[in-house]
Amino acid sequence: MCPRCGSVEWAAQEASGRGTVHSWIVSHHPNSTGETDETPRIVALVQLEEGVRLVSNLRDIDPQDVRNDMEVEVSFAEVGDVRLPQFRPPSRILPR
Amino acid sequence: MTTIRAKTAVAGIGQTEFSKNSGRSELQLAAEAVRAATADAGLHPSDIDGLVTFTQDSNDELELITSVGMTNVRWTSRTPFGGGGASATVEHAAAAVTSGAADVVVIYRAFNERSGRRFGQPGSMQGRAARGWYLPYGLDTPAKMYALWFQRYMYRFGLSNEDFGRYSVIARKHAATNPNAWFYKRPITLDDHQNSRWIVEPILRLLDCCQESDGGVACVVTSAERARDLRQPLVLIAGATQANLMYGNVTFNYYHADISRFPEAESVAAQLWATTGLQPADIDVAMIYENFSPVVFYQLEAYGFCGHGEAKDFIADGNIELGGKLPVNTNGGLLGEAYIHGVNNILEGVRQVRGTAANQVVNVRHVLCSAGRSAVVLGRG
Repeated sequence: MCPRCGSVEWAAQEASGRGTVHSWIVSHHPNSTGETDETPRIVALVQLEEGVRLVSNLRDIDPQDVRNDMEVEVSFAEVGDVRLPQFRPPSRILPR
Repeated sequence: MTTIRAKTAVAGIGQTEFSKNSGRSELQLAAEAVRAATADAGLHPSDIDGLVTFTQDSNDELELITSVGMTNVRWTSRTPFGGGGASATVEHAAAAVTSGAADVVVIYRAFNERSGRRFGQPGSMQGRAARGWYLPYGLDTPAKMYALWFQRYMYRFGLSNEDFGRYSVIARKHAATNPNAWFYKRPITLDDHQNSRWIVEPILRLLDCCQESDGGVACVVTSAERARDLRQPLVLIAGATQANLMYGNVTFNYYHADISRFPEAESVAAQLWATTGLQPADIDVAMIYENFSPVVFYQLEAYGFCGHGEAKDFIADGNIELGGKLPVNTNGGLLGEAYIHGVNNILEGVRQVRGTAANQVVNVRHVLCSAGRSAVVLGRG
């Protein structure tokens, strides 16, 4: 519900898919299935261009190369039995 | 504004031993702790007419009432937020006594959190639809959830994991001389900390994480007037409050504008300074909830014990050790003594005011017991 007006109307809004890495971690702890991930997964809090923060994963980058506030862009991938937004360093210059 | 300032007191404290395998039910742990706290106050179970615990506590009020022989309970309540609400239990109890809803309230928290359901394991936090925003990405343990908050703080102020380790070393140093602590006589060095395994790189190592513990604790709250006539030295509840902010989240606190701060703790601090008339310099001992070492840094800054981003130096300079400007977690805290969801830290606060702590600080007038989202100030009568 909207905290300002109480409305429960909502609509999907297309986002640019661009954002920055607000914070990030590498998980060494066993995952939900009780096993350790084969390659450590980077979990990131992504600040989308539109202002929303979203928890996701970083791909196509080594943990030692991750920097706070670096630009990332969305891609989609099958993770287990669900399709999830994932983020990676920009592969090309996107029109602003 | 009406406040509960100094109208109520903690008149009794009690606990079981803290262990990794209690060998008995959580109900028995709760009952033992409540009986011990009641006896410590010089009261009888029939004197108890109110109960407070956590929403997360598994012990049913009626079963506890029967087990302890509490024949007159007329008021109960529970506090939200898990450990963040640890100090809210005292606020609830004080509010009940101040309003007349109850005269003698017992706070209890008891669990087999090591031999039973372990909070640190993946899956312990599942079961709520909103967690679909987190679990599929691998954010499935408290260590990971909190670390994603802490990392921004590290980046903002240039901290390394070694800086957090300096807190862990102090907590274990305090535990080492506290016979009540699981890590009694087992201090660590900064090398030990740096050689402990990563739990969440590059934020948390094993020795940044609180323990998983079995045990039960309880304390008795009544009016200051009645407490004066009871067995123990008077420990006044000088102030108590909570913060419940929009966009806040207990374990996923990622949505406030600046996540290198802890706005809930800042709100609690501002309220407490306003209602008690105290300032940071008036606090002689601070008991600070630490499921993980970095939350001590956030809270030291939120209360103004040091400036924003200065906790690293404040800790490195020895201020929070015994003998320092502001001894913190004199029992060893949740890393060193035990993790009874933060309520064991309140018991230590009471002991510091009474003058009976294992690591007693000289001439304690005020103790802050901060759980981040709730806090209480205890004072001498």
